[in-house]
Amino acid sequence: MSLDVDIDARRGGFTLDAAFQSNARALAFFGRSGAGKSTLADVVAGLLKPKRGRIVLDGETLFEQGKRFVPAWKRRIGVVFQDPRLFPHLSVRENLRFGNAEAELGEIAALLGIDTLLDRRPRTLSGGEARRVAIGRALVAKPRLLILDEPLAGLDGARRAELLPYLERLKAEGGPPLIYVSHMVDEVTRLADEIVLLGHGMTLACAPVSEIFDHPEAEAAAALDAPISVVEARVAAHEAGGTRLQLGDQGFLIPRIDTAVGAPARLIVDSRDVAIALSNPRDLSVQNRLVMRVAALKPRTEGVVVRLEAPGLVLKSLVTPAAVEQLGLEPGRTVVALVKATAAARRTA
Amino acid sequence: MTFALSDAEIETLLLSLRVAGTATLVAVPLGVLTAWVLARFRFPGRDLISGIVHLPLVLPPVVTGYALLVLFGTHGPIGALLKPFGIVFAFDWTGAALAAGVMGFPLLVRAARLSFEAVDPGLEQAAATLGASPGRRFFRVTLPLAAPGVVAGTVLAFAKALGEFGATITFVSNIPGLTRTLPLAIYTATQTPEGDAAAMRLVIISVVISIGAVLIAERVSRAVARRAAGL
Repeated sequence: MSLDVDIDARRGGFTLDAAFQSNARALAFFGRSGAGKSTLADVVAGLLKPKRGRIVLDGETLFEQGKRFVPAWKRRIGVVFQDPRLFPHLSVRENLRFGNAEAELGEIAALLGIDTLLDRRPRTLSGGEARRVAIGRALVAKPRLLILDEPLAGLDGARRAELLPYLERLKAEGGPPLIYVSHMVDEVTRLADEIVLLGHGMTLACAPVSEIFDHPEAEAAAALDAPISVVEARVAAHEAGGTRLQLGDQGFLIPRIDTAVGAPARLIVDSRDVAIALSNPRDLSVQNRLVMRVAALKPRTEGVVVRLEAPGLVLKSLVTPAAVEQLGLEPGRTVVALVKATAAARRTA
Repeated sequence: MTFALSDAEIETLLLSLRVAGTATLVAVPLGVLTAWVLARFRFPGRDLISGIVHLPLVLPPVVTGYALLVLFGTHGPIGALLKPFGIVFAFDWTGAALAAGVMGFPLLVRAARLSFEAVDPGLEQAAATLGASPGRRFFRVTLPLAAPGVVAGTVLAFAKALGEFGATITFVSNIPGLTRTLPLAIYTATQTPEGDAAAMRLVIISVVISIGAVLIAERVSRAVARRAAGL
């Protein structure tokens, strides 16, 4: 997918000024509520006509101020809305076939686990079932791009945990390119390759997932109490003690996961879980000891964020000013970053 | 007094049904379109159109009938325009149907408009993102969901058309076999010496038809409402 957006739009009293360009197969619109994520999603889908600018998707101009506006129904852009918006007067089967009357439903219904619901009416479905049907309905219409607008919002933890794998499979099993709208870190880091960061009606950045959390607004949007690092890794081996990942040119042990050797994995590391030593300490349980270089020190109210770099790898560590002083941390200094194997949350991508 | 209907009574009954039926058949598509436009779009003159549609509801029926006479009479601006096409309203059953339709129109538009306003525009948006053209969105999503109100409005309009008196007698007079519908026939009978029995028979016919229509309408609208609610 190649998406090029540069628009001003207005809805009610809200104005959106968005400009970004991305070739990612899975893109996220990320920001706190009221940042303009859903408005931007509606603009791309053709549900809201911008005041100015242009939108180009895969070489086709969908909007050009004063010249061209392709209406939503001609764009072939599927949308899964926050509320499932199933047609209440139609059965699940009729809902699924709404955008494609001839469609064979078997495969998609099985993928989403809705094959037993086909004869039901939407109002008899649970929240999680209705979301899955809404996703299925959008997929059956064979969109060239699928926008998921907070499809997990309002679901409890268990339902979310149940639905996320469906979305991951969708991405993995050759589904359409995705735009995922959310303010949840785990969702966007699991599902997106690139993130468009929005704040106060503006696009602030468009960057790979591993870089976006360097932006203060991304941290604020995610309501994180400490900085995180998102690390792109690869499964190197499964060992008795867990799974070994390859991070740049260094190994990294985490509790065992099922991902195949060689497959990509995405790691989220809380900056509070990263300790710093000047030399490789003995008599310590910590399994992961990464030789890194101090790139920058950033003081903030709860401590100092130390940015550590190694080839193909960036980690942030939150330490006290006292620690900075004791160790004499300064940019350029080589240190050992210590991360407990059990502290690193595993994310496959 | 026998229960068998006389030829004159059957003629009056059939004329009434034809007038009210024709009025409703023509009013429904126009009324549904008007209701949908008023419910979904904001444009200059919207309140004016809404006001004109509702005028027959608040004006004395005689005034509406007179306005129709002035506009659609043989020498009226619209009547003269339509005459070359063989469409004549003056002093004919078609005029009675026009009067009945105009009087029932606001009732239909009101009920249908409320129903259209209650349809979640989000569902129409969802249909659009599934590639549905505006026409398909209307007929597959909006109209089925608004159907309970449309049916209710249709029943009201039909009932109003069946009972319409003032505008009809003013516009197309009271011509036996041509414009003398049930209410006009009842009125005529009450004005005739010894006409009480005849009036009572027509009243009974009216009551029976009305109750029948209400019962059928009730069943239809319940079925439609259940379907729209997804039960």
